[in-house]
Amino acid sequence: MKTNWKLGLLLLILVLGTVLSGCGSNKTAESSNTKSNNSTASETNAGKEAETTPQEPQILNWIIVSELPTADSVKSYDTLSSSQIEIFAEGLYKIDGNNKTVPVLATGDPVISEDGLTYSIKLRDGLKWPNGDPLTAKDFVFAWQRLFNPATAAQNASTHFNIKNAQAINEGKKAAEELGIEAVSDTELKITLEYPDTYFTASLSSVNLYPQNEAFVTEKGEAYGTNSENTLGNGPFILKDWDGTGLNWSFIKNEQYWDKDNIKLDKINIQVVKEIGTGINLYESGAVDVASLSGEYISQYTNNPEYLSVLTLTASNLELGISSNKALQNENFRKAISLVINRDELVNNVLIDGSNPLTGIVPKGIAVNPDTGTDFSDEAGAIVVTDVEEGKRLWELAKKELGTDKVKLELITSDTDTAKKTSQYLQSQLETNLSGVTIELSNVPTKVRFEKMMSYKFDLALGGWTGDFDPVSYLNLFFSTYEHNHARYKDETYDALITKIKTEDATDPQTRWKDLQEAQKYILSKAVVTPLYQGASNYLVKSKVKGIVTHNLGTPLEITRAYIEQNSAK
Amino acid sequence: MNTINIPDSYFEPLDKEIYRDMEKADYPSLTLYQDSWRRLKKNKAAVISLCILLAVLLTAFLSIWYTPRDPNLQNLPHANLPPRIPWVHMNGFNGLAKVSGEWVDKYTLANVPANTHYYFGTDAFGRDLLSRVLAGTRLSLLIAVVAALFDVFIGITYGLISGWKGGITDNIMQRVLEIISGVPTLVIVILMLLVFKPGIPSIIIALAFTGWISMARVIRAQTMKLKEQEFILASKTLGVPFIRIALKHIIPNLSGIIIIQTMFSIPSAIFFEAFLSFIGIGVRPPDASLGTLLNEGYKTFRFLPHLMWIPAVVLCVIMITFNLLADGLRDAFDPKMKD
Amino acid sequence: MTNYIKFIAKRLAYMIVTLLLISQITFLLMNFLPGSPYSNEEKLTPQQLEIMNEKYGLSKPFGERYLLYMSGIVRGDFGISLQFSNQPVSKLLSERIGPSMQLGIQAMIFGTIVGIVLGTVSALHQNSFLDALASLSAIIGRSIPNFVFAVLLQLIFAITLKWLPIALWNDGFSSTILPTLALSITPMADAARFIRTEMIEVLNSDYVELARAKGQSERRIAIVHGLRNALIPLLTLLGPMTVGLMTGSLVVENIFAIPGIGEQFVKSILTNDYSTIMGVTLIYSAMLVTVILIVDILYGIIDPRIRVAGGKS
Repeated sequence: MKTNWKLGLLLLILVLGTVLSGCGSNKTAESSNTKSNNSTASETNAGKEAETTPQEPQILNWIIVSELPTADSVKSYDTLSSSQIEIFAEGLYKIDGNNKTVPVLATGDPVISEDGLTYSIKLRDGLKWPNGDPLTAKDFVFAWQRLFNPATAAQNASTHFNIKNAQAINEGKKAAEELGIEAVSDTELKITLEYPDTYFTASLSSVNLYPQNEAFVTEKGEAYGTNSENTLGNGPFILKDWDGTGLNWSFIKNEQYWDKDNIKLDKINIQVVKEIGTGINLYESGAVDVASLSGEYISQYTNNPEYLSVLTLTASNLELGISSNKALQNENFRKAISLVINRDELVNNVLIDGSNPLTGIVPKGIAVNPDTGTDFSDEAGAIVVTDVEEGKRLWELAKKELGTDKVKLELITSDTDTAKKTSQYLQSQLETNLSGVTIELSNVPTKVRFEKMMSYKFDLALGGWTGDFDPVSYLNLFFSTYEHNHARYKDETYDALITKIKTEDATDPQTRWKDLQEAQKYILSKAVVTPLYQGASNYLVKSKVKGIVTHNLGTPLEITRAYIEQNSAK
Repeated sequence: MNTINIPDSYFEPLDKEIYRDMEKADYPSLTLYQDSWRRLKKNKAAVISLCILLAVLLTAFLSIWYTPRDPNLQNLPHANLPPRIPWVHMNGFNGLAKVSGEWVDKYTLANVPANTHYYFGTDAFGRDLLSRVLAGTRLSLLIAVVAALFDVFIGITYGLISGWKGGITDNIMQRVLEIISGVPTLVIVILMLLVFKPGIPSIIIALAFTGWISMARVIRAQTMKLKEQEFILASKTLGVPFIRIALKHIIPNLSGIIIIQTMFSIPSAIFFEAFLSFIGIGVRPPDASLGTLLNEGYKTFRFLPHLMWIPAVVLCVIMITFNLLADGLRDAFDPKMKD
Repeated sequence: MTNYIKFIAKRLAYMIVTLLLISQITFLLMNFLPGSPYSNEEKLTPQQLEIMNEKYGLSKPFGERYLLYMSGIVRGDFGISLQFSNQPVSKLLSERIGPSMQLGIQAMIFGTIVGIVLGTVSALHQNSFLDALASLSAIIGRSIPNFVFAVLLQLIFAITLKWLPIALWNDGFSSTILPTLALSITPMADAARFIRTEMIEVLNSDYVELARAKGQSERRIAIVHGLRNALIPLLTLLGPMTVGLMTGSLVVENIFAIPGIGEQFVKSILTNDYSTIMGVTLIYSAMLVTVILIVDILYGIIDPRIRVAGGKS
C-alpha cells in the first residue's frame, strides 16, 4: 500500500501536467475561435466557395518575415514597419512605380522659394480620419514636432535634420514650436529647411513625416501605436487585430479614405512566417498569396512567371580597414583587390538572388539627372571593373612597395546566408588570384561585426549601406570626420568636394549633379572601398493578384491598390 | 606400545613442480580488460560496429592528407550537381536530377567532361561534397571527442564529489550548477566572440561550459543511490579512501549510464556546433563540419536532396555504430552480466 | 514530516539566492554585449544614441540600473522590450510562453511515454529483433537534428499527405501535432536508452531473481521492480529537459510559424533587447530550479534509501 500512494503521486503529477496542457490548448482554441474571422485557412476556403458568385470578397493573404515593431509612424525606422504603416496611413507624397514622387494628400508639387528653403504645400479638401475627425495641416505640424521631440526618442529623426531647427529640437536646445513647419491654414503647409535640398520632396514620402491625429495620440500617450486599438491612420485601410507582438493581424478597407473608389481589396490578412521554406510551402498550398524568397530558394524560382524581384537601395561593399591595416594603405594593393573580384560571377553564379553587380558607390534607382533624366549609376557607367591580369600586376607592384610577399587579412561579415556565401567567394577569388594573400573569415552576429567596424579596427569587412533619397548619403561615407567612415580615410580634396556639394551646390542642381559624379569617380580612383553588389528583395506573388506596385525607393512592394483577378468567366 | 618403524626411505620428497601445475588454471587468467575484450568479441553487432567506426575514423584521419578533391576549392560552373557514380545507373546517382518533375542530366547542362564524376555531387560553390563530408566528419568527430572528454572528466568528477560528500558541499555544488545552467549560454558565447575568433577553440570553450552539466546531475543522483548500498558501506567501514571507492566501485557500477550519457553528448555536441555555426561562432567557413553541412543542406533539400541526405546518413551511421559499440562495451564491462 | 518541511523551506531560500545570483551574472554579462539595442544603430548619430539611452534609462550606471530593474521585478514590472516600441516584456512573455509551454509539455509527455515503451520492450526482449528495432529507432531519432525532422514531418504529413496544417497557429490541436512530434524525438530517444539500460540492470539484480523465485509474473516484475527503479535516473535527466522544451525551440517555432518564446529569446540576445533577455532568463531559471527541487523531493519518495540532501544532519 505504501508504494501505491507514491506511485499515485507520480500519476497525479502526470495528470496535472496533462490538465495544464489541456488548459493551454483550450485557451488557444478559444482565441483561434474568436480570431477565426481572420484565420487564413478559413478565409481561403471561403474564397473558394464564393468563386462561383460574381461578387467574391477581395481578400489578400500576405506573409511577411518578421513582427511589426511599431505602428507609430513617427517611431518607425525599418522597412518592415514602413511597409505596414503605408497600408493604413498616408503622407503628402508617395513614390510611384517609376520611382517618381507623386502627390497623395497634397494637391500638387510643392511651391519652392527662390533660395530653395521654403516649401508651400496645399492639402486636399475634406480629408478625414477614420473616426470622423477632419485631417488638417495641423496634424502634420503635430506629427513632425513629435518626431523631433527628444522625449519621443524616434530612431529615424536624424534622417530629417534638413528641416529647420530639427536637430536643435532633437538635442533639446530649442522648443518643438520652433520647427520649420507651419500650418498656414487648415489645408496649407509652409515648411522651412535648414539648407536647400533637391531631394526634400521625395523625402516627404517617408512614413516618419505622415500626419498624426493630435487628440488621439495625446489621449493614448505612450501606448500610441502599440496595438490596433491604440493606432489611428489615414490610409486606404484600417489596422485590425494587431496585439502588438503577435504573428498575425489584418487590414480592412477604410471608408473615410479620400480615394476609396480605387481601393479594390476588402481585406488584407498578414501572417508572420520567419522560415522561408515554410512560407513557400504555404504559398504552394494556396494558403497565402505571397512568399518571400531568399538564398538558395531564389534560384529555384527565377524562371517561374510568379517570381518577382525588386532591387533595393542597399549597396554591399567590401570595406577596407585602411587606418588599422598597413598593407591596405597601399593604393596598388587596394586596386588589385577590386580588380580581381568578378562581380558578375558573384551575382549570377553565387548569390543568384536578383541582385545586380555594383560598379560604383551609388546604386541604381536612387536619383536621376535633373536635365536628362538618366539614372545616376547609368550615367556613371561601370567605374569599377574586373581585370585579373592588371590586378595581378598591381599586386606585384604592391608587394615590392610593401617589402613583403605575404599578407594575411581577416574578413569580418555578418552571419546571414548571403554574407557567408559572398565572403567565401571573395576569399577564394582573392587567394587564388593574388598569391600570397591569405583571407581568414569571421562570420559573426551583426552586432559584433558592427562593433568591430565602429571601433575602426578591422582588415576587411562586408558592409552594407542604405542611403536616403540623395546620392550624397552614400558618398558621405568617405568624408573624413563622418563616424561611418570605417576606413578612417582622409583626403582633403574629397572633403572639400563633399562640403561643396552639401553647401554651395545646393541651389544649382546641375553643378551638384556633376560634382556628385566627380566625387564618386575620385574616391573610386583611390580604391577606398570595393563595391560588390546591389541587393534585391525577392518574392513569389500569385498570378491572380494584380496591381502590385514595386519601387526601389522606400518599401519594395505597395499592395494597397492590388486586387484579385476574378476568374468567374471560366 | 609397539612402535612401527617406517623407514625414511619409504618417503620421497614430492616434486614441488607437480602441485604447482595442478594449481594452475586450465585457461590463462585474464585481466579485466582481456576478459571484457573476450566478451566484446562475442557480440557480433559490436564487432561490426567497431570495424565500421575504425574505418570511418581512419578515413577521416587520412583525409588530412588525401581527399579526392580540395574540399574548399570552388568551381562555380559545376555548382549544385547531383551525385554521379560511374557504375550506378539509379536515377539520382547517375547525374540526373529531378527539375520540376522531370529527370534532367545536370552534368550535360553544366558541360562537365564525361570522365569527371562527383560521387556525392557538389554544393552551391561547386565544391566536391565527398571531400567536404570527409573533412567535415573529421572536424565533427574531433569536436565530439572533446565534448565527450569534458563530459567524462568534469561531469563525473563533479557529480561524484557532489553526490558522495552530500550535505553542504553538495548543496553549494548543486546551486553552482543551477547558476551555470541558468545564465543563457548564448550571451556567454557572443561575449566570447569579442575576445576569441570564431573557430574550434571557441566551440570547445562553449562546449566545455555547458556540456558536462547533465552528466554531473545524473552521476550525482546515481552516486547518492549507490552510496547507501551495502558493498559501498562495507568499503567505507573498512576505511577505503574515497578515490578508491569511486574508481573501483562506483564508476564500474555506473558504466552503463556513463556510456549512454557520453553517447548522447556526441550528437549534442555535433548539433550544438551546427547551432553555433548558425549563430556565427562555429566552424569558420569555408571549412565544413557535419553540422554545418546539414544546416546548409536542409534549406534546399527539396531541390537538392543530396546536400542534406548524404551528411545525414553519414551522421546516422556514425551514431548507430557508436551506440551499438557502446551497448557492447557496457555489456562487456559489466561483471554482473552472464555469458 | 517536519524534516521535509524544513528541507523544503531551506531549499526555497536557496532558490531565491540562486535566482538572484543568476540575475546578477546575466545582467553583468549582458552589459558587455556589443553594440546598442537599437536595430538601426548603423544610422544613429552619437547625439541620437544619447537621447535613446536617456529615454530607456541605459545611460545610468550599471549598479543603479540593476537595482531599478530588480525593484521593477518585485513589483511585477519586467520593463519594456526594445525590439518593439513600448511593449511591456511581461505582455510579450505572457503571450509567447503559452504556445511554447503547451508544445513542450505535449512533447515531453508523448516523447517520454513512447520512450518508456520502446525502452521497456527493448529491455524485456534483450538482443532480439524487437530490441534492435526499438533501439535503432531511438538512435536514429537522436542522430537526426530536430530541424531536419521537422522539415521532413512537414513534407510528409502536411504537403504530401495533406493530413495536417503546414504551419501557423490557428487550427487548434491539429496545428500542434507536427511541432510536438518534432520536439518529442529528443525525450523519446533519451528515455528509451535510459530505460533500457536501467531495466536490464535491474532485471538482472538479486531482488528481481527473488521475485521470480517467488513466482511473480514477468509483467509484474517488469513494471513494479524494473520500471520503477529505472525511472529514477530518468527523472534527473528529464526534469531540466522539460524546462528546456517548455521555453521553446528556435528552429521548430520558426519552421511551424508558432508564436513561441524560443525564437524571441535568441532574437533578443542577438539584438541586445536587455529586458527581454532578463525576463526570459529569470523565467527559465525559476522554472529550472523549481523542477530540480521537485525532482529532488520525488527522489526521496520513490527511493527512500536516498536521503534528501541536508536531511541527514
